[in-house]
Amino acid sequence: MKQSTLFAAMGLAVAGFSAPSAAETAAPAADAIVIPAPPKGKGEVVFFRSGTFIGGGISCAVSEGGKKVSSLPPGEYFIAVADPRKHSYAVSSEVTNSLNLEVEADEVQYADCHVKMGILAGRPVLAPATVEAFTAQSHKGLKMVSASRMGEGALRPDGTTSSATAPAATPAAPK
Amino acid sequence: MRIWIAGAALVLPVLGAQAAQVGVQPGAGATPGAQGLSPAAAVSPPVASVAPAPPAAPVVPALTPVSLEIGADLGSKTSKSGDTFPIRLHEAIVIDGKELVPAGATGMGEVVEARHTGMSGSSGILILAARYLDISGHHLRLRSMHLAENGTSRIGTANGLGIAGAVIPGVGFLALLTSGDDVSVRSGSVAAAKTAEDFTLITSSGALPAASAAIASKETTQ
Repeated sequence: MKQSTLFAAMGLAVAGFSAPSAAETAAPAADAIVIPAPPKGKGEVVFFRSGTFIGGGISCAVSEGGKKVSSLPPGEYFIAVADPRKHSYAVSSEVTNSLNLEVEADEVQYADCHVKMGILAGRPVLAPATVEAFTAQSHKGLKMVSASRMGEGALRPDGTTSSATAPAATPAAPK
Repeated sequence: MRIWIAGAALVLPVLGAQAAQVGVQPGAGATPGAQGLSPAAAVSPPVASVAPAPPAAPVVPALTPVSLEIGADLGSKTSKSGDTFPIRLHEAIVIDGKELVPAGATGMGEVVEARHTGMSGSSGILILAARYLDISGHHLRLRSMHLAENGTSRIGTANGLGIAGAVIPGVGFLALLTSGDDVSVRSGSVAAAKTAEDFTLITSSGALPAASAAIASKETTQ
């Protein structure tokens, strides 16, 4: 009797672990996110972060030249609008990780942030990514970072940026 | 009266020859030159005597696709951000059926980012950019060479080992020692890029058209 109770409990435990994944596969995929074209003469870099629970508590705030561009919580993305030239974006934890990118006028590039294991804590890492990788993540329900967590040069949901040098981009859906 | 008309007829060919020397467009430059003439000469249409304009200098338009050959072995392990490397035009630039820039023109590229593989499964990264092709001593600026390569990442594996390390002592160190793959680009690899701006080629007379002159002066100031 005790043995059967034990097996039943184990079965429930296994079902409990597997249930969420079954629900996830059954859930319909989210629509792909459409990135608006950059403002004329500017380029865009789309930073995104998968929604994995590993390293979820580690900050992936992206900065350039010591100025915050935007926070980047798990499962979210933001669009940095920038002048066409070489840019150096950075994320920091126990060490700083930076990524140089060549921003081209009228083009969109992608970069992802993932957290790898560190000695004391997880370390955020920036790496170039592809539109396919972004689209795959967008089907899993990526959301745009809220405007309150954005800094200079990030495209707000209303199609504006806070930077005086970066004019407002054409929003995907005009008001 | 007859003598006066004959003099005017002699002046016109001389004016025509002067206009031809400076390459004036037909109908555009003859009027100012006629201001000092007698009324009879000014009335006569000088168009017929002006030499045809020289053919327009060939222009390579901005955003023209170009095929480039990398001229050095590059790698996320061996290269450094900011390194430059030679490039070579792999296929001639042909506009409207005319070969404007022959294959083999040389230029320069830059390593925008080179990151060696790290601990905990992170992969190598190599991002390259084409800067310019050297055309008769002037730089045809290039853009949009997206030869960005990531090595195979093993961050997922390392994170999994890290989690296992919380239960099994010692396994966590394996996570730190796990590394991803480096990236390399061999000399001779071909990549696509685009021209960054309109580039007017130098004419056969050696004169540098305005657009190229502007480009040249910009480069010398940099």
